[in-house]
Amino acid sequence: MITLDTAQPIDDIPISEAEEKHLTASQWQLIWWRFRRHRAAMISMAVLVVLYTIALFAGFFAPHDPRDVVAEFADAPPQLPVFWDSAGVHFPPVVYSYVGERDPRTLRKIYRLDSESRQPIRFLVRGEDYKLFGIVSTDIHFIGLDDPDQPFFLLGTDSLGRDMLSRIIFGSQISLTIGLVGVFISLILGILLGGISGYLGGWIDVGIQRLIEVLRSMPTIPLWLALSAALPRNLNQVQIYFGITIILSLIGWTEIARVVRGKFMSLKHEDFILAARTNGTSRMRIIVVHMVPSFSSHLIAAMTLALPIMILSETALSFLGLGLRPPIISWGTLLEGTQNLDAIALTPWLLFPVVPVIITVLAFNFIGDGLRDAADPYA
Amino acid sequence: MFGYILKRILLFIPTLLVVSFIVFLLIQLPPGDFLDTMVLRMQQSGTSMDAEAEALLRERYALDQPFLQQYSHWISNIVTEGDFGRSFTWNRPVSELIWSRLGWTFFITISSLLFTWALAFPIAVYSATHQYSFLDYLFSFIGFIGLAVPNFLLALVLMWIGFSVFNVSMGGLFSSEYRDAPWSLAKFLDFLSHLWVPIIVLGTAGTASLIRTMRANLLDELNKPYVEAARAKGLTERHLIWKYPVRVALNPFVSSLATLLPTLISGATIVSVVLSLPTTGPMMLDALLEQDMFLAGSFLLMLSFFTLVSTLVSDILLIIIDPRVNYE
Amino acid sequence: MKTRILIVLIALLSIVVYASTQDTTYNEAPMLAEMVEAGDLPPVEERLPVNPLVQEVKDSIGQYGGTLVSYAPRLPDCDPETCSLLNANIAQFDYDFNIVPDIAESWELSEDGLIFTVTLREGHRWSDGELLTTEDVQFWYDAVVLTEEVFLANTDNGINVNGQIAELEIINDYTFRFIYPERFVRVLDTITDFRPFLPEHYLSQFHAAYNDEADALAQEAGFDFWYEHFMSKLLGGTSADPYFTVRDQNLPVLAAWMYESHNSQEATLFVRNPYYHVVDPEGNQLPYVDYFDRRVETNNEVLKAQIVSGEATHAAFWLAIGDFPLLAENADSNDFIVNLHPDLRASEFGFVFNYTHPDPVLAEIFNDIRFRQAMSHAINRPELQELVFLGQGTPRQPIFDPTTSFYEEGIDQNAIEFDVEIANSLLDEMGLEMGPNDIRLRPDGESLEITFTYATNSPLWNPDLVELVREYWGEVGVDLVLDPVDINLYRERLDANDTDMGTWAIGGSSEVFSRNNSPIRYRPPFHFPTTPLGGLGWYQWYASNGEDGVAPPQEVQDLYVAIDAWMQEPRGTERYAELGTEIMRTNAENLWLIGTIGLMPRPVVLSTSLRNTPTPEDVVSVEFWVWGPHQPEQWYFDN
Repeated sequence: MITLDTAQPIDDIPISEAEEKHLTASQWQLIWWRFRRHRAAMISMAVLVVLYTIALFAGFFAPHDPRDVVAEFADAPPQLPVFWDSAGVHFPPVVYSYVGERDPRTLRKIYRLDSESRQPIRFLVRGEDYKLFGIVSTDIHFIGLDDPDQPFFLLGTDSLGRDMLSRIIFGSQISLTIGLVGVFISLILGILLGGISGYLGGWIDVGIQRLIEVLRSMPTIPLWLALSAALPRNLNQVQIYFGITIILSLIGWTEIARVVRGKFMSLKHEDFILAARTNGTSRMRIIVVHMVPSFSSHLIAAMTLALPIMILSETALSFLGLGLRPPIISWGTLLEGTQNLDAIALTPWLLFPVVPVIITVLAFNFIGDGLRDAADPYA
Repeated sequence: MFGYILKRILLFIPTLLVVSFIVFLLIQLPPGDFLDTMVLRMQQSGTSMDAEAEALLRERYALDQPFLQQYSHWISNIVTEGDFGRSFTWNRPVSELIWSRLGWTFFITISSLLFTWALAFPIAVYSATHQYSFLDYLFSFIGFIGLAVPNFLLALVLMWIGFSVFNVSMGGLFSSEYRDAPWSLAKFLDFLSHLWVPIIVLGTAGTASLIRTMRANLLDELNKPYVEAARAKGLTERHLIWKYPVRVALNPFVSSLATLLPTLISGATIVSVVLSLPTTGPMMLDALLEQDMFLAGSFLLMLSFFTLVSTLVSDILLIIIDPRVNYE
Repeated sequence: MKTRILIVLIALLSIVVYASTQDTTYNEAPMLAEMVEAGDLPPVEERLPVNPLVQEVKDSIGQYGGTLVSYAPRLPDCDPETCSLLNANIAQFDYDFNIVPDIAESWELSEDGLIFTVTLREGHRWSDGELLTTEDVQFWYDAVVLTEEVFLANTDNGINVNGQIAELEIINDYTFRFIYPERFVRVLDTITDFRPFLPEHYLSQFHAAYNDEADALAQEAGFDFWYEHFMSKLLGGTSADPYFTVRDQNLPVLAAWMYESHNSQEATLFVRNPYYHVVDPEGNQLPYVDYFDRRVETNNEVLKAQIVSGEATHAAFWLAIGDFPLLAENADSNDFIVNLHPDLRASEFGFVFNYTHPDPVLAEIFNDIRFRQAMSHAINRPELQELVFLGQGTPRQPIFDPTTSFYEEGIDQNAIEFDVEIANSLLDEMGLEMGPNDIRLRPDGESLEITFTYATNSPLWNPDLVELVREYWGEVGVDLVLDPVDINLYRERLDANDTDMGTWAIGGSSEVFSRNNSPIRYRPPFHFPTTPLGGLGWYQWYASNGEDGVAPPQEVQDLYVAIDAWMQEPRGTERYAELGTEIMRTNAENLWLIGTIGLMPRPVVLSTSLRNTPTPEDVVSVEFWVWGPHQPEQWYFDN
């Protein structure tokens, strides 16, 4: 009997446990493994988890009510935590309280530190009442001082004496979600139009491609300008928020549609699609069940990369006075108040909201980068 | 291939027409018209206009006509006579106002694009050939920072630094003493000392994405068998990289002509507003806010024309340099 | 004999000086002397009128030379910062805000207020050397006022009597008169903004009635019709005047400086008018300063940066109290001085409820004086002053400022003190009971919610102030819903009577402004009728003689009557003061307009070396077109 090497049962080939795991893993597991190797993306992931947690529990993490006007501490500079001074080492660190006075010549408010009054920073202290998720009433804050009447402004205050740190934290609720909503809308539009374009082809494809070209060729600022000015009247602040999101996503969908169309074009002729078609599967089912999942990892990567653009767009819109407006608190509206010389020259701490913007945009970009690299797990 | 190019060129004109229509529609979309803005402005400086005068002017400016009539009048005048209409605010023909501003806008966006290329190309090649090295990480990080800092803020801060540290006002493209002066070496140097701010602000914003795409493409190429084969044949590493992979990986640069330019033009709008540059930005924004419709429309139309042309050029170039591109 | 209303305009002093200067020779700027020497210009004696205007100097006789520099954010607008340097009207304000001659040598209004006679200066020349005569007045009347195609906003200030146009009668080369269809005393207040003359010798070529080729000329210049071309010579932008964006070197003007050139950055350079009709007491022809450079920075922050770095020789209009600290910190190192000058604005912000609200429940609440008192008491003005206005200004209601001739001490203090208790008890008294969430309930059981619509992209917008007022009113159970909208949309809503509350920076409240324009702050709708802030229905009733709109309560009807009578009364008479007092008191008592902080001082930046400029106690106000009364033609640089 002739035995051929090739006829040897596969089971007999010795393979390591790791390799076996690799071969039997699902697509998503493979992506995850590859993604984990991207160190910057992993760190970014952790950063985002922290940011979203803070946004979710904003009332808890913010030391003050973001709308609380404290007249005597208007335009107050940040209080730096002090770990040691002439009185020795402090743990937990302390902040010095300060007193503001108007300079008689320049009318500018100048704050003098009182280095004798040390206020230790406490964790989980009782402060102002707030409602967690708008339901649970509590007064426990993540950080604060024993004496709630003492100034405690780690990032300083704005011109009305409102705590910048608390405002940034509450601002993240809008700024971190506006991108998500926008990207979600973009995604739906992108899959729909990109899918139709790629799957049907022909003159519909040409039409949609022209539409994308037209949209992309138009400078976005005027597009936003006209659209946001044309938002229907009598909208309340929340509706405006959604209106702005939709405007942002109207431009964002073109990139996703392009990715989807490309994938559809190449998948159309793949065997498994042909098989499904000859099986008599409906067109819609082919698209939703067979085609979309096969490139969803690419889609997620494209979405992650679209998110930071949305977040930046929100700030740019606010800067031009077209986006969200106070009293809504978002990173964009906070930065809108800094677009003047006085802020940069005299109260530079008002620029601080740009730091979370940069961190978030960086984090999403690194994650998107990592996802894109990991998206083709069989490569 | 030539059939495809011809088709693209033929499609260009209807696309432009559609763009012009959308542009005009967008401008008319917000409530109110130019006269409303004008009356408000007059009131802010303490004067007023009565309702009859307003009605008279509205008729004079043909603001009371239906939208389609206004549009067809405008577009047919552009096509037949090159007449872009009149700016209400400036009481001048639009064509008198827009060309020098468009010129500066093109100049600044193209300069920024060149700056982006000059920055992205060496970094991308280095990053791809030294994947996961310290500098690879550092460069991507810096690139992303450029992407992440909002343009307007970077411009404001640079302006403030110019003012407080060097005591020069960074606004505009010239110091006041050179604005009227004829071109000279001193004026040119002064010009350069102003130009770097917008170019850095705009250029850094687009660098990151270009580096990432080029790096990824180059990495793909470097892993291909022909590179291995060449290496096995004993080609020097330098020769090996520059001969084919880099050329092939250049595609993103060409396509960035189409993808980056609209972003740069939009970015330039904001940066010009912050720095008061003599580009389209500030005047177009004013015109849009005031609904000075022919002025705003002409700016938008010309900028869209510019990006459409660059898309066309980039598509055609892509086909010429890389015949594998699927042009169906 | 009946007392005649005779305004003598030649001050005694100037007659004396005029007599003495007849013998003296006039002096001129070196740059003009050179041109005379070269034969390009006639000597100064021939360029000045026989009877030039002699202007007292504020401090000292000046030196010739230098360039004034100012900044503006937009080219086309004729903002006060620019145009108050380029004005040439029948009359002008002097330092003490008296109306004194400018282009006209004298004028007189007949006792019955029907005939207004103006005399021009003999030998007065346009900037191109042609004589200014009554022919130029006739040209203005025929070519602009009577020509239907030509429309200029505000050109007919002095001849439009409730929609009827006065007749023009030419007496001789230098004297003309307007004959009014009815008594028109107000002309005496409008002549500081009235210039009924245009250079016929230059402009007639662009007018179809004077030149058959006018249409062809227009098409050559890129216009469709002759009148577009003609009007472009009168105003560059669509703003109210005067010629500064026309950019035509050949256009003859009468102002101190005339157009010379402009550059790509839209900076416009103006050069001295060699035929300017004003001299100082020593016979030196004004202006002292050779050039005026008006630069444009489209971004407000760049504009401020330019001023802070000492690039501007004078700045006031675009500055607000909030800019003061930065200016003060940089003044010494950048060679300028910055002072806070008194301004006359009645209140930096004011709130007007919609007294003719379509919702009868809200209208009733708003019309209850107790509600307005309560809302005023609820505002914590001292805190607001500290937080928003650097502790400057005076908490007051938007009533006439203290320079007003019939001012009464304390009239602006009605319901001004911050007192939550009084506010609450007033609201309780009205039966507006406190409902859930600490928001009061309207009589119909709905919660008392007031939507505060305001324009965001207006320079007057102050988000801090708006948010503070929302807090204050929330404290007494009135829910203010903030609704920031685009300025055009805002106007549309005001027009459509679709607002609960209107607001505007409350300028235009001074005696001079009320007379010069109309008393917009003292009668519903409390602003120009095209942007009504509140009570539009009442105004419609008034404007239609009771046919349209909503019949106002008796005190408002009386107010309209009093204001009409006041406008027909010449300044300074007893009746004028009586009526003025009535208007002032009615407004103060009724609190239709709720004010915040008023009389806010204005930061004024001046070059350290600039002389004859206003001193810190001088009023610098938009009510007086900022620099107008401060005679920029006699400013000079002390080298």
